[in-house]
Amino acid sequence: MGAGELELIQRALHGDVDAWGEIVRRYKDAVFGIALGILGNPADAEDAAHDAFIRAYEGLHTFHLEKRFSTWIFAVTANVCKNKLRRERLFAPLKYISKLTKGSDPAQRLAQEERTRTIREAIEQLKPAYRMPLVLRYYADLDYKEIAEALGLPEGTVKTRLHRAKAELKRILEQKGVAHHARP
Amino acid sequence: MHDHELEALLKETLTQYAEAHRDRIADLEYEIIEELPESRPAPRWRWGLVGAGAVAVAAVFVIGLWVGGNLSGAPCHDPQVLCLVYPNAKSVSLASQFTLWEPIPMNGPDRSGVWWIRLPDDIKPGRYEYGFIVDGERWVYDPRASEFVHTFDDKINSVLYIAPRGEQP
Repeated sequence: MGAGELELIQRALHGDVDAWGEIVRRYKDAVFGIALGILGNPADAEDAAHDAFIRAYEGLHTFHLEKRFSTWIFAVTANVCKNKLRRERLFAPLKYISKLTKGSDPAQRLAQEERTRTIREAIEQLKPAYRMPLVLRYYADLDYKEIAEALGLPEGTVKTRLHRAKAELKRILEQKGVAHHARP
Repeated sequence: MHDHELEALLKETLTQYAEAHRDRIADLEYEIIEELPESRPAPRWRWGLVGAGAVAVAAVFVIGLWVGGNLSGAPCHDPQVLCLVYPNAKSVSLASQFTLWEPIPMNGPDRSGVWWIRLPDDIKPGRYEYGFIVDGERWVYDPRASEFVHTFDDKINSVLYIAPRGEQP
């Protein structure tokens, strides 16, 4: 747990909303990134991040203070996203293209944008059951055990789903020729 | 494509995507803070204790608890009571200079996971360092204290000032 984080959580448990505001400030990028990876739509991800922090505040008494807060808030986020997917059947293709800034050569930048878009679309094609552990593993850097806790799955199932997700992604990307553009 | 290449691409892609839309959450903490007093669940069980005709009295009571920063059964609004929210603890004790650092078991937890202890009536005016011992081993300082000190063994103690009787602390 980060410096002062336990104190902030304790204060939030006592009803100090400013302390919770500081927690939101520290975790909003990660929570938004997870929601965006799972939902694939910035507007929905923004809503999900908002709902996750409200829900986490309301259920803060269920957080075990000796555990990692990041794992817990990511689990709340994943659950909010899961419910959102279930409710809205959000499997529409991506409509947004990110603004990439790396690379000064326009041709190189275009190629990179194209590759990034293809990868995002490939992620979108995965079933949510595969997409969620993938985002938690490779965006949020959770280990298998933490993902299992966050998603309420056995650790073995998480490993299997990640393995299948990567195999499926590779298949899609190789079909699209992205593998040939991968860095050496 | 090797696993490590795919993993690097995934991380890069997801990170860039989030970065590109980060402005959407620029004010998220302020929006959440604005919303929280309304979204926090009301302590319904307290309302169940009062009759329907005592709504006004109950409102004052609940507002008083809000001001005290507490919505639980523990009397944390009382300045003579020390509280700690630790819902998953099996036991919490108070240790302080005025207990000669002997752990004194605290009451609780209440429904909100709050542990509490009333300060002894005969405590002498002065400055006292204190903290809480969770489950017999973990030292936790009181986040509601107005002053803290670092100890020589790199822990943090909370500080409590007891005013002479009749004086404001």
